[in-house]
Formats: sequence, C-alpha cells, structure tokens
Amino acid sequence: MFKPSHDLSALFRSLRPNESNSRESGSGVATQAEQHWPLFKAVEPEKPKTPPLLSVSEREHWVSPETPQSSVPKPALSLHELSDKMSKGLENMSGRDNKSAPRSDAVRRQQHDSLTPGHIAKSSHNGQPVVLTKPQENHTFLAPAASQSPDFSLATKLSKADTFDRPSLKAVTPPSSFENPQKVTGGEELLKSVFTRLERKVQIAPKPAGNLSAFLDRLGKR
Amino acid sequence: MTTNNLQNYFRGQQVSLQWSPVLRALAAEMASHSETRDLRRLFFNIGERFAKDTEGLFQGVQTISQLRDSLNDFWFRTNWGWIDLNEADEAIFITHHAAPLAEAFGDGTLEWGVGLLEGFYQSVFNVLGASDTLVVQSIGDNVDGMRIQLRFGLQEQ
Repeated sequence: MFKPSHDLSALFRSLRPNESNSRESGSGVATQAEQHWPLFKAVEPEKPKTPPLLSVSEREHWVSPETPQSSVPKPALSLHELSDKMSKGLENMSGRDNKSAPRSDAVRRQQHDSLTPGHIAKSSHNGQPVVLTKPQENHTFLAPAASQSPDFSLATKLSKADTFDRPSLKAVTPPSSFENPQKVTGGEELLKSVFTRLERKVQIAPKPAGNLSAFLDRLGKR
Repeated sequence: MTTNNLQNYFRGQQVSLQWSPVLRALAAEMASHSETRDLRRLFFNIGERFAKDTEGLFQGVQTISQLRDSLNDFWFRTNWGWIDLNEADEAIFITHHAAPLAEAFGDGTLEWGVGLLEGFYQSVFNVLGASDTLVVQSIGDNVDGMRIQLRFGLQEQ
C-alpha cells in the first residue's frame, strides 16, 4: 500500500540542500554543488586526460589554430602527379598480378580508364611493357547543364504558364501558312506596308515646301 | 456602387501590397532628384527593355488586328489592362486601358511614367519593321491613368 505523506516527506528531505557541508568548505563550483546537492557526488565529473605527447614528426606537422594560414592556397594535386601516383598503383597491382593469374584486357582497360589523357603507364606484365593509352575523344568533358544560362525572359515564363495554367490564353504564334500573306491577313493590310505608307509621308512631307518655293520663284520671274 | 468606387477597388488590386509602397517611395525619390524630361526618358528606356524581354511574342504578327490581339493577350496575362489599336490620320492610335502605372507610382507621376508605355510600343513597332522616323508619343491628358492614349506616327512638334 502506498503511504504518501511519510515517504514523500522523507524523500524531499533527502533532496534538500545539505547546509552543514556547505559551511565547511566554500571553494570551487563543483565542490559547492556537491555540498548543496548530495546527488552530485554520485555523478563525478570526468577529469580531462592529459593529451599524449607529440612525436617530433607530429610536431612538425602540427599547426596551431591561431597560426595565420598562408594566403597562398595549397597547390592542388596536379594532373601529372595524380597520373604518376595512379600509374605507380597500377604497376604495383600488375606486379602482384604477375604472381597470380594474368589480368584480362577488360580489367586492364578499366584501370586505364582512370588515367589522364595520353598518359603512358609501363607494366611489367609478362616481362613486356604495357602501354596504356587513352583515346583523346573519351576526354571530352561535357559542360554541366547548370552552366548554360537559363532563359528567364518574360516571354518564356508566359509560354510556360500557357502550357500548365492557362491553355486558353496562348500567345499569337506565326501561322504555318506564313508564306502566303493573303491567307494570313484575310485581306487586311500588312503592318509593314502600313509602316511604309506612314514613312513615305516623311519623304513626301518636305516636297510641298520645295515646290511652293519653286512656284513662287517662277512667279517672281514672271 | 458608383463607378468611382469600382475603379478605386480595381486600382487597389492592380499592384501587390508587397511592392506598392516600395514603388511609390521609389517614384517619389526619383521625382525629387530628377527633371520630368529625364524621368520620362528613363522610363522610355525601361519600357524598351521591358519589351525586349517579350519581343518573341510579337515577332510573328503581320497585321494591326493581329498585333492588337497579341498585345491584349500579353497585357491581359500580366494584369496590365487592355488596348485598342486604330489607324487614322496618318498614324496608329493606341488606347491603353487600366494600365497600373498610376497605381504603382502615383497619379502625379504619369507625366513621366507614361514614358514606359512609349518605350514599350516603340520597341514593339521597331521589332515589327518600323523605322525610327515613326515614334510613339502619348497624347491627351492622362489624368488617372485608366485610359492612356498614344500615337504612333511622324513626330508631332
């Protein structure tokens, strides 16, 4: 049977800060907490272990976070170095293969695929140097699609909106029978001829003044 | 409900709340620093650039009625109202209804804000083969911007 009043009060009392201990010593936050709250004693903080001493070579490679980094970026692994490393790896692999079964051409080709263009790797396979070359055309890298600038024009957006949202509102597109303007325009005057007509008036416009002066000149002569 | 109420309500819907105060502030700031003529020229250039972005929509147009339909389709879809196109008196007259210029930049800015439509239509006509001797100019008084009239033809002095 559960006895709430007595048991709970005892529990609360145990949780109460132990004031007698706190008076005895008052230095250090952790010790103080331990004194106030006895439960802290149960969970003793783990003291950090002293770091192991670095060897001489390790010390040479050690860079403090405070040390200013060189502004010159670390040179990336060059293609040449990379291909050297890879060819060495291949040599090792083929040397190991000498002891076991000879590798198939397919496997060799697969290894070779990871080489740089035009790189020649020598192999001691069967005592004969194996020249690994890669066809130049295989190294044609395609530009990523993201590098092509996308078309953000309003016309494109509207045509996209046409496709998905409002199929009834399509932009006027040139009809297929464009070669025959009569069919397209239905007898209506073409814009280009309207423009020409309007522009012609520009050329015609100054003429009356010239004619008038000539006419007046003729009148004056008479 | 009066026409004015309807018009006010409609104008309230023309420009998004997100951009309306910014555009008004932008216009006010520009107006305080520049002459009307310069602002009109600037907006003409903006209109030309605006049209350049859409010229693909108008390249196949051959007649005035096709141009009207094409422009109306474009304006309608971009919530820029609608237009009438008519040829008369040796010019093509454009009446642009319900353009959001006045609502976007303020009624007082229409004198130079209309340059945007001038530039836009100029660019469209040029794409369609018109020479530079023919120009688009606004005519009449564009009081509230609900009916802006423009003329495409020889430059009027």
